[in-house]
Amino acid sequence: MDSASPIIVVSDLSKSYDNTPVLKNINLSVQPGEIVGYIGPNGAGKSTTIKILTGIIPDFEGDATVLGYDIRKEPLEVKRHIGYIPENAALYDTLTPLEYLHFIGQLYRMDRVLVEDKARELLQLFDLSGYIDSRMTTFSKGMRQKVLLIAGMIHNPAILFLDEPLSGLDANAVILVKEILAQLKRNGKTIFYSSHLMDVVEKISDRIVIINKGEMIANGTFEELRSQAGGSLEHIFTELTGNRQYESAAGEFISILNK
Amino acid sequence: MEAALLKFLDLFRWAFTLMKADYDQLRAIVAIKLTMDNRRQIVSYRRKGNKEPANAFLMTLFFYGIFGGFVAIVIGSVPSLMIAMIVFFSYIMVMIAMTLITDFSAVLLDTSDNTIILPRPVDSRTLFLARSTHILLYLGLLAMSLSIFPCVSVLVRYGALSMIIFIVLIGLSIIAAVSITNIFYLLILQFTSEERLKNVINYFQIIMAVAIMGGYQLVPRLMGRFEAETMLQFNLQWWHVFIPPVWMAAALDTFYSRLYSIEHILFTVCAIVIPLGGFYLMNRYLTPIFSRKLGAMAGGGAGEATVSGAQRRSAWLDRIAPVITAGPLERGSFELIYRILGRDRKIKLKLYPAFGYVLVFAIVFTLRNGEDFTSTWHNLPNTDYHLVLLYLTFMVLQVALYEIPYSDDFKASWIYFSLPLESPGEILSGMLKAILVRLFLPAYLLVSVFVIAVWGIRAVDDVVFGFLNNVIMLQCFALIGNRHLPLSMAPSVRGQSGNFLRGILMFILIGAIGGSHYLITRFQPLVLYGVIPVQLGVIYVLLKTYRRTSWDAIKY
Repeated sequence: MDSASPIIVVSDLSKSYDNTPVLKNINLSVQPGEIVGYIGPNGAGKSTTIKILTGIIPDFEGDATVLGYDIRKEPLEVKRHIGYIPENAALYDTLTPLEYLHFIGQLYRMDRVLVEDKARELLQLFDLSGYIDSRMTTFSKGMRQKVLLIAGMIHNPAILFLDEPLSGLDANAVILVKEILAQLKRNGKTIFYSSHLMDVVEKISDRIVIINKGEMIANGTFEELRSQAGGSLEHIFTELTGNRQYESAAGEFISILNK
Repeated sequence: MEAALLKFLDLFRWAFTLMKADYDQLRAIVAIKLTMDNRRQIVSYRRKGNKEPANAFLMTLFFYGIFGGFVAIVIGSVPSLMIAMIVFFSYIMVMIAMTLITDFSAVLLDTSDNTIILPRPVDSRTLFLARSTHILLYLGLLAMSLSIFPCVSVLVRYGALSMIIFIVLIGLSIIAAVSITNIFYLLILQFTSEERLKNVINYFQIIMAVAIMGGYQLVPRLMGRFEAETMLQFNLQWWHVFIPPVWMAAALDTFYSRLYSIEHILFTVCAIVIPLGGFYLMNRYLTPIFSRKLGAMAGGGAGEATVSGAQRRSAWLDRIAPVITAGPLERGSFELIYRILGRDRKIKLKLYPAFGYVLVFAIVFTLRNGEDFTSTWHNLPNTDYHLVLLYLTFMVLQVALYEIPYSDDFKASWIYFSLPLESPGEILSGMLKAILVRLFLPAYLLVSVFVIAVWGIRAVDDVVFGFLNNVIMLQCFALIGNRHLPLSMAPSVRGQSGNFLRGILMFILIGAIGGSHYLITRFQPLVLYGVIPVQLGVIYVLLKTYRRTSWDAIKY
């Protein structure tokens, strides 16, 4: 795999909001066909990184190249070849899934009939064929997440960015999505995703990147990380993100409650 | 209507291509926005039962058409073309600018679809133009209904060629208003935060609500005061160059009256060049700012660790809350409502215009007997209008009491139902006190200062007496009306049917109490001092009753 040139290159990436640094000198490169699990505590800068790599946030310091395109100079080229699945189930819920997917297809200039066919089949795969013409206002979070997954992949992107892709999904859908990710990898797609579910990350990632307070603190395969700290990913995670005293913190929590 | 609008849009494909936008993407975005607007209206219609007409927008168009009819009469009857046109273009430009300020900002700076559209291969110019076009379509419809009668009026009086030029000038006015508002917004955004811009817009909206109400009440009264001869001739001055409606009027005058003076030509050039130039500038230089800002907002709103806008703790609130509330529950409710009344923009937008209405009504009442302003002013201390002013302030209270149960965050009210609350009445009384202290007290103080300044020291007892009566009236309304917990109801479930009855009841109550106040001052002023303790007693009893409200009496 190291013969191929990296598909994502990030060098000295920094970003701050109103003088509050959110990302500090992130350096990262991802090979084609890799599944990268991007983890970190709340507010570590995971979503910001993904938003920069997908071209949503154009203001940042350092350099980022995706598929050989400089994200700052040619954001449209990047956007054409990547898929993005946001975390907070943002979609136009007064539309039906089919209408929404048609709209997304138009933005990629896809053929209308092709979009319709793909959408129908994919919705069926996700057990949504009965809701294809119902407005999404009444959809549960899991149903919306499924539509978002389809919307992010309908143009068959080379790289997929997922921000908490499994939140709100039921157990069956989680298994399905995990399997889809694995098969996408087999098809040569690159996947970059953030998650809080340590056991999932541990199982499906080729490489795990941990960030904390805007800084990258670990980068390697699960085995490599384990050799550093040992135990499960959850253990490694808490070990590295400096929250080692969680047991005493929990004890203190209880004792304050008892005051 | 959607399909027709899109067909209409297709006519301008070349213009969008000229502006380097991707027309297919732009059309897709506009189409989806129109569909959603349409559905949203229908959804809210269903929830409200049959109280609100589904086609609220069509109603607005209808009313604008009627307004346009009045302007058409002005155009038909005023001898000077210049003056008639200045009236018309001022009107249309103000309406458009106000609509833009209230609605456009929300559309232009909408961050809700950041994660939907920004990751797709849509460039920022296309997105910017799509959003602008979305609102322009609505503005176009508004402008059309406003100018349909004036058009006829111009056609009949000044001929077909004038009408065509007139229509072109209306188009230019819209473009001018859009460009100027946009440039204004983007420049503000350049220097301040989005949050502050939202506050600025919020105050604009409040002022606009008052201005519309005030204009509706006051303009016809003031119209009668104009001297007839000023309407005959309008002399262009150099400084008129700063007033955009004058450009438009002068442009039409140049063509119709064939006046080619330096001023006329200069103004005509302004009428054509400034809107188009502004639009070009906006499209060329300001879209990059727009896209950068949008991206930044996208980041800030997504739960990353940027805590901003820390609120200072109010020492004042800490000091007064324990004095005027009894018990932790009432105090909690008081502090919550007190803070929200000062922060929640939607609630401010609904409540703060009432202050303006009080002012407008005060002016209407004092000016109504047709004398000129100075003599009315000099006579004021001899009248009893100060009582009207003191009781008008009640409108603020009444509106607040009516609006406070509704909130977009109504779901947060689960807290009331999950807590072991025995007496929801304490929450209600805390709410009532917060409304009194936060909204009524400042307004009443202001009115009182004015009243005492004009009517002198003899009005002090009226001020005190009136204040206590206002409190009693508020309590009566709170006790008679449906009792809802504060901020616990979805705005969409609000029924409109009780409005009229409530209004009548308010005027009867104000009339009865204010009337008796008047009679007492008139004939037995000293009785006032005897009644004040009685009022205090009544207030105490009513408050006790309200505080005892049980769960059964609460409606939700």
